[in-house]
Amino acid sequence: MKGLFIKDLKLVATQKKFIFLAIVLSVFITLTGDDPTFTVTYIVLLLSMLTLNTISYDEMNGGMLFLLSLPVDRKMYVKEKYMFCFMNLVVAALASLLFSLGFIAFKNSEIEFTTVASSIAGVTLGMALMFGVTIPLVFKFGMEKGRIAMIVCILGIIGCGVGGYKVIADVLNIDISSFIVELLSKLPKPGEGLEIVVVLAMLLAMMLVLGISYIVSLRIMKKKEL
Amino acid sequence: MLLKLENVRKSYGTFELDCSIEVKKGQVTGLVGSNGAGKSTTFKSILGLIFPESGNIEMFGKKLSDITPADKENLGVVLTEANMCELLRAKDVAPILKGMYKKFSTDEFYQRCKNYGIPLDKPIKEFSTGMKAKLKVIIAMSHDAKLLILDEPTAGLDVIMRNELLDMLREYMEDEERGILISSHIATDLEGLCDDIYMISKGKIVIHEDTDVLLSEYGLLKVTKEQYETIDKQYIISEKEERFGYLCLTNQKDFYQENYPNVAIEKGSIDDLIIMMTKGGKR
Repeated sequence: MKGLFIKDLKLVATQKKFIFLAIVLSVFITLTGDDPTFTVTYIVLLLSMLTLNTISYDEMNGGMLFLLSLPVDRKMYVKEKYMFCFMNLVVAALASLLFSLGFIAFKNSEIEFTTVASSIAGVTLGMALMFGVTIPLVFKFGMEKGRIAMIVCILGIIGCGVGGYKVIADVLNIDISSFIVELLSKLPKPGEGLEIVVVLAMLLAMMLVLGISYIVSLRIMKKKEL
Repeated sequence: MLLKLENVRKSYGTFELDCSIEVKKGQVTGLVGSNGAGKSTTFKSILGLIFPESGNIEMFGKKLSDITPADKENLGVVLTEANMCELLRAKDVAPILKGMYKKFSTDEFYQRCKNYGIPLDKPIKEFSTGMKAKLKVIIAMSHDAKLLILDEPTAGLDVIMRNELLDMLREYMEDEERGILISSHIATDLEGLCDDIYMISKGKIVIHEDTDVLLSEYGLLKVTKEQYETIDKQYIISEKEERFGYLCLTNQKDFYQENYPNVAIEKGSIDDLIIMMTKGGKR
């Protein structure tokens, strides 16, 4: 497992010039304005895409054949990939949080930290969901076809969501919005522990999405012939 | 026994592999055959990269399904199609292997790279074909493996490098606990290295002999049509029609030398064997 981690870090490091330039550019854009949201979401997005790219690098030129001929089995490979994704998301989210704290302090920005933090939470969770859907698809169809399958899948999820909402609201006659408002009113207020609830809920949601996705990926990889 | 395949079957459309092979400790076993004969399918089955429909594979005395990553530390592999990601450099490869193999020696790896002219700082994608082939072999031999599985390790290497590689393999075999399964298009590589040779054609093992026997007892008979009619054919294993008459492969060269002094007989080579068993009609 350690070797696979090192390999992924080395693969991400091959893009270091690009990462550096992208971050410098986005920080520069942010410093000219008053809102760090752009940069922080950008950092999370960028690191997430780099993580996903490591799968396509692994598949290039018979790379998977090579990796699986080393002391690595399919389960270990899948497990490492998910851990690497999760770890990168956490690092990206923490880096973004630190950056926004620094930005607010440095620029005496009037922007609320919680606003930026919720953007980070949103994009991190979004990326976790994206990983959850994309990784099994990439394992199944490869990077190129996997991207198309991902779009189809996301549209399908949205379709199911909208359809499900319609069914619950119209057919079963349940008022979902008032249910959500009621649920939210039961949560603690900002400054009284809401942040902890949000962070915990987010971590839980991420782990749930990635956990289900991991099980699906493992089944795909165990059957895949190379 | 380091490796044992028993009636391993795998089919792709009309192609069907049905293969039994053994690699013993202290032995170098060769697998030869023409393109598409089933060599790579055999190697992939051994490594669990594809799933045979039936048959048994045992490695280090364990069923393949029970082989753990820790067991695989005793395995060194070169596959024609398999490559380390080409964005990486040799100096990136070292820490990756260090993280995977307990017995990997970084110093030795760097020393070998230096000896074989592998640049440490260049991305692998900028390597020549020969350099890539050399790096693959160096990686396979970097961690004191007990069994080497080498599919065409000499492909892309010039004659000097091929000889160096074969020397490396001979040196590796000085430890009696080790073994090698190797395939190569260049039959002379195998003639000087292997203890025994399996020949595969259309997915089936058609010959398994000790290399000494292959080279001393197998031969090619060049006979005219008239001679062909009169000779005893019980030791002819394959024949092919030619302009002058027939080319016949025998596994009892001496029998024909003694009984048919007028027949032209050539010493067999692995190349002849491949041609005769692939192109010739089997008896």
